[in-house]
Amino acid sequence: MIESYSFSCQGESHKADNKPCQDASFHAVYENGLAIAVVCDGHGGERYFRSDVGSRMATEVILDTVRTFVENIDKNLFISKPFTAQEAITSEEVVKKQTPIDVAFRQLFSSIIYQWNQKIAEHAANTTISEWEQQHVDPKYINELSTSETFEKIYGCTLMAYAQTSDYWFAFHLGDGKCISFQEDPLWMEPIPWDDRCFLNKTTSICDSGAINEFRYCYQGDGHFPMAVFLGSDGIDDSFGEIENLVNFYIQVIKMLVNDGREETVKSIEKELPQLSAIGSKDDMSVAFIYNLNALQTHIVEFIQYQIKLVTDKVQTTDKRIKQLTQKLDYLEDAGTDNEKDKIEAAYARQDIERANEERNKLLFKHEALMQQLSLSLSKELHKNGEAK
Amino acid sequence: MGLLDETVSVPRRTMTLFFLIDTSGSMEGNKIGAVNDAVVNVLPMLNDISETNPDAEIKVAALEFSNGVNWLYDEPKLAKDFIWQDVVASGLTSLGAACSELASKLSRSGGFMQSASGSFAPAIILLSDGGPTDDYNSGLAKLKANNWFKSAIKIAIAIGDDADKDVLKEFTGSSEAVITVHNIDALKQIIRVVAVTSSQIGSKSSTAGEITKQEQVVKDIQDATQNIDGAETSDSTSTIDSSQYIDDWG
Amino acid sequence: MELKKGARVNLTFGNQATVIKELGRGGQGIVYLVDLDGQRMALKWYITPPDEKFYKNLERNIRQGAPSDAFIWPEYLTQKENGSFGYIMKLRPSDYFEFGNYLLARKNFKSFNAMLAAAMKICNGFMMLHRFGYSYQDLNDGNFFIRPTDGDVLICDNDNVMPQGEKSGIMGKARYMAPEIVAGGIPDKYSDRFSLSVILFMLFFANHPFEGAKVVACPCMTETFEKRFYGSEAIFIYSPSDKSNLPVRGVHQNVIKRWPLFPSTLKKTFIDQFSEEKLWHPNTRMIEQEWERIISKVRDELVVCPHCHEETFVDIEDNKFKCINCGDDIDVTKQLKLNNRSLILTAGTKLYINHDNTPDAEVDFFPSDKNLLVIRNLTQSCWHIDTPSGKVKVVNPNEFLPILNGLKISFGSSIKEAAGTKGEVIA
Repeated sequence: MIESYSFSCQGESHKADNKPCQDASFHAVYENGLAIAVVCDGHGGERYFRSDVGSRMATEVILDTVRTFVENIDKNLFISKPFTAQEAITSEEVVKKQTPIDVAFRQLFSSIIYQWNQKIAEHAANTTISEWEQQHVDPKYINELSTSETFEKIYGCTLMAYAQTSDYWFAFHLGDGKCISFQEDPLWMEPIPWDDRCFLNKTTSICDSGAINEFRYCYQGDGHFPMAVFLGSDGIDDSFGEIENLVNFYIQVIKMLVNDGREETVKSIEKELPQLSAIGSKDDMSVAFIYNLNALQTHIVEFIQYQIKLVTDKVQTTDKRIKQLTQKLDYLEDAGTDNEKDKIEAAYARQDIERANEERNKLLFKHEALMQQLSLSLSKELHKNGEAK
Repeated sequence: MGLLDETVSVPRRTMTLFFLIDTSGSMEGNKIGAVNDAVVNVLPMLNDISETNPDAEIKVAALEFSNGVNWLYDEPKLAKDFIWQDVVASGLTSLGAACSELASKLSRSGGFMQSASGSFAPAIILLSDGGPTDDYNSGLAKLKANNWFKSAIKIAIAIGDDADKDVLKEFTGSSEAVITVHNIDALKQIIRVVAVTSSQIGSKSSTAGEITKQEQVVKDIQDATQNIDGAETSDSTSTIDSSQYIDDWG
Repeated sequence: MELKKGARVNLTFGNQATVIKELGRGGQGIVYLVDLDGQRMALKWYITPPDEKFYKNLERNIRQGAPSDAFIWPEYLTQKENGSFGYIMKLRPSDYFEFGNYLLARKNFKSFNAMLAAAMKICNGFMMLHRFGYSYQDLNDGNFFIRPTDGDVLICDNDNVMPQGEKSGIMGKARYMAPEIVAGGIPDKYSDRFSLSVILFMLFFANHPFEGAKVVACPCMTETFEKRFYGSEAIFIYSPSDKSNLPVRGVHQNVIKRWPLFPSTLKKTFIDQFSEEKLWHPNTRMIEQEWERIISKVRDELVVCPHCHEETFVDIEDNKFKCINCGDDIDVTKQLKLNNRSLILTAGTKLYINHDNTPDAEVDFFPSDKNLLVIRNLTQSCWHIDTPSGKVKVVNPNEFLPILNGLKISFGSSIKEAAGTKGEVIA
């Protein structure tokens, strides 16, 4: 069964001046088999003072347009197409001709931009400046509302969506944040190509003049579907640093869905994402996902095994580092010079060995916990198989 | 089991501050002494910023360049751990080699940087009292193509009038980001101001606002510079008679 | 049937071509690199052979030869073998890029000068094509290959070219068809002229003239919608009388950015050619010579800004003389008068006296005096100058004359197809 979920919460840094959550997310599974998840992230910064409205409107527009798209498009365009990913368009890069699918997506994306433009224009025309805006926003930005050439910036946001029908699936993305899909092989990947214009705090945006060329996307129609797809705003991936940590977090969600059920998982997400913001990125947090519970149940052991491998690899890397540091320390101590630099280096090596050992102990603890989970899952599986027989 | 239990790591975000120090022969004497003194004194301040800042921790890396280039340590250290070793001046000014070396470390593979998710743009402070004696163009070109460098806060301190300000301007991308100092006291004060300001601004969660961190840092440093004697921000600034020829066509 | 590497195909005149490798494939056929008597050529091979009429038409086109050097024209026909047939043509050099790349801004013209050269060359190609009695039938963005440096154009896929009044049976893309063809009519030189206006508009503005708000309002383009937007309900995006189809921010950025830059002459022509009147009365559409005249007029308004040294347009009709890059005023007091044309003289500006793409003169500084401008003779023959005091001077190729009021230039035989042209310097 295909299920979906989404959640957005205010970032830790927004609490101080009571800035609203500028993320918006959406999820649904419809009777015709369409499942959709959307995450939009309104830009921070004074100039983008209505980006919460912009991101909310972007989710609405995406939902509307994707539904119309799926209802009207000839599904044969997708049928039997293998996984295909298309990067954003940057200049001076000659590519092959657009396929009919590329043309169809360009039409969908054009329509998303157009309808978003319409909605925010209407909002700008009909919404007076709020008290909060008057208190918190520089008048020069407020004045931009009436200068038609740049008012879109005020509502600027990123967008990311995943949709699947019974015949095919596709995903598209403009801006930062991360989309991770889980399937049999490889267990996880980022299906949508990255855009190098999104780097550190810079991102592409629906309010950019060349927004149409900033969409990246992927699709597949050969009958293979991901077991689960997670969309997360940059508040989430910024909290985890390396992408493996983010993937690890989503695997935690998957395990919880399988072991404790949806209700518990939802409770946990809604309690812990604000905590994550506080210890991590301080930014607004959004996650939206679509999953096939049966498929996740069937493959749960592989997820745990992946986590174990991740920890094992880290232990090995740490061991290697400890070995190198020990060798360096031995060398420095053997030399026994009075050289100031050598003394400092030796002190660093001792300190680093100590830290690495602490890290190693933590990893071993993690390893132990995961091994227990693994044996529990395996015995459950055995039990189930036994019952089946 | 919670989602954020022991198996999930949430590392602290980091910002790396780079010192690029000219240790050529001309720096010998009280110039290099002032640099050593100023950096040693500013490190505890950076540690304070790091510890009281909820957004990110600050790491420090230092590269000296003269005949060759040399990192003080082979990885960035936390501000509190960084033990300054006095640098010694002698030899030429291999700024090009320093640029190439910095470019190679501004990357994830074999470099000093981590995943862009969770990182802040680095801050880079370049100090020099002369002009490059090597082919700095190719090194600088490499650096300018680097995404981390493009996003970085870049400030140059020109020590005295012999510093090649055009080169420093090219490095930072604007003449406003080049500060000239004319005496030892000003040099010390400016190193402190530049290191503290760029760390403070660079390690804050930025909101994709109108004004970039670079502009913010430059503005704050310019304001501070006005109150320091002997420091200034750089500011940037013809025929044979043809009448006989014209007559001929009249 | 597809051909394998090393396969030999027999040409109607007796020789054989050997397949080296596949270069690409489209809806109709595959293009192979072949060796023909030691020369590298291209072979277009039909996957399913079109009918006998198509074959005969190709044969006739080959016999007649290319209308101009803009066409990569079929040169030899193969015999009917291996269940199909094909034809041999020249290879397209690798520094030419498909028009579609310019529309997606993956390639950009090096200069407006190159853009105008491309427009001129396309017009000339179609003029020659129609003069030969052909119609193109399937004009679209895939037919043109353009060199970004100088705007030189190669027109490909000339197998669908037919004598006027006949139908090739190959349906073009609706986006490029005249409304009457979208509605089911037979392509002819009038519908080609419509397609030419579309292509030129797209060349200048990198946007289709009918693709504005109306077209992007629907998330999924269906055939019914297509017939409406490009046919029965086509509205020009800058129609002065109907604002319902304006270009959309974030989508049609090229045209939003470029439309204000071009001189009124060009904008008015497009507004006119895409007006309801011209859309629905094919025989009132502008002929190619008239387009050449308009493009030439636009080229007369392209100058180099004396302040920022970038190319800019001045708008003589609207009396607007501000640089499109730096916003400074352009001095237009120095001019070369040619019949009813006024060429603005600023340093660096190239002067085109006839309609070909080779500049005939260039404005430059006097070598030792940056305050004196001169006109350099870039032609192959000498010019004669009458000075106000009655002297006669000769300006040989690559020599120059000063820009001084009252100098009268006789271009003699130096300008191709416009012998005897005379001009006067106003300063």
